[in-house]
Amino acid sequence: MARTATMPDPRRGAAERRLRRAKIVIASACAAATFAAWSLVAGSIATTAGSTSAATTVVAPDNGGFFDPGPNLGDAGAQAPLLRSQGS
Amino acid sequence: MTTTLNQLVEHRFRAMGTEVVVLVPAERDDAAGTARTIIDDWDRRFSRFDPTSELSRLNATAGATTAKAVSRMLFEAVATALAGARATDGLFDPLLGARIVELGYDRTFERLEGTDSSVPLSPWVAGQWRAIELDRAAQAVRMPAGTALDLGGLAKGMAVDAAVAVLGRMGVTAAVNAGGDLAVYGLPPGASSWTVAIDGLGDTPLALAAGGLATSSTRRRRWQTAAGERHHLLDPRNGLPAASGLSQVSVAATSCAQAEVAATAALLLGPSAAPIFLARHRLHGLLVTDDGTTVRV
Repeated sequence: MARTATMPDPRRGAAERRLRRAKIVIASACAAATFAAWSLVAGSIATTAGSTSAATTVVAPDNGGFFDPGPNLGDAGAQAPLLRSQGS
Repeated sequence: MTTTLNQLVEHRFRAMGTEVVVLVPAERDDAAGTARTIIDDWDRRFSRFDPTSELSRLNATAGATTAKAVSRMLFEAVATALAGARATDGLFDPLLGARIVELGYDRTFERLEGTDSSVPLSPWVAGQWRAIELDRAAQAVRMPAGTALDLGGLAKGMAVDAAVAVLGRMGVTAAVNAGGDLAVYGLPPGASSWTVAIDGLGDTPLALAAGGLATSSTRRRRWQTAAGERHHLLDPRNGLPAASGLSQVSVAATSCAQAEVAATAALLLGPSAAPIFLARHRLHGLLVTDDGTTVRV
């Protein structure tokens, strides 16, 4: 009896498959809509920023060797400063 | 003005819109004059407030159909600026000269008073630096119409780099500091590094053994307009004073010019992305957020 209780109902299975397909369709539509909306936003950012891409707002890209690895900026302890960098 | 610090002689003078400090060993005090000559030369050529400077004369040709022949110094400065712009995807933008004037910073900062901002800002077109044309063979530059170069911070960085390079070739240990944009050559007598105090870090100095250091800040060079307070560090993405969440960024690099470009880009990127940017380029720095929190990178 327990086995019978766990056997799938063919009609119920078909309904679940239709429901799953519907969910996939809805999810795909949502993803497409989200992508389209994001594309519009990204396009707007890119248009506003001209040649500065939207990716710039995250991190500027690697470059063609403009920057060398920099020197360390360590702690000088209690020594008196010889120089001052106050920003310009 | 001259004072002596730890066997180093300190010379102070005004140039490039700021106070310049030159530190040289007492026995090579004569070399400070060489540094000053170099800094003064850069000042004369790169001032955007002097209509007779070479930079102003180049800016006056914006929109011309032919490129203008310029000195090697100016050509290399523009080439460096464009390399910095490419390296940061335009976060460092040398072509903000016309916009900063429009925003009211149209004379030396000492002479800047309240400005009339009742005139609406013109529509902002980002990325025009890509239209600058360089002709290396003719050593000439052509600029797009309606634009103006402002090489202020970068010119200071390149000037101090040039000064310590010349002193280095003379075998003179030196530090040259133009308003916080500084470069060093060699080490102070008996020391393993130069000690640098940075605003926002209290009295605890940092140690710099070589290269340069630059600090970009929105805390200085601020002015009032009818539309509110403005500052000089513009975001080239919208043509307005930056508001990224960072108020100050200091970066150490192998040259002050590199440090200047990196500090500007990092400040514009804001507190989340700036550490990633600096780490990607293997640069060390200090970030100060708008609420005064400091972050070492």
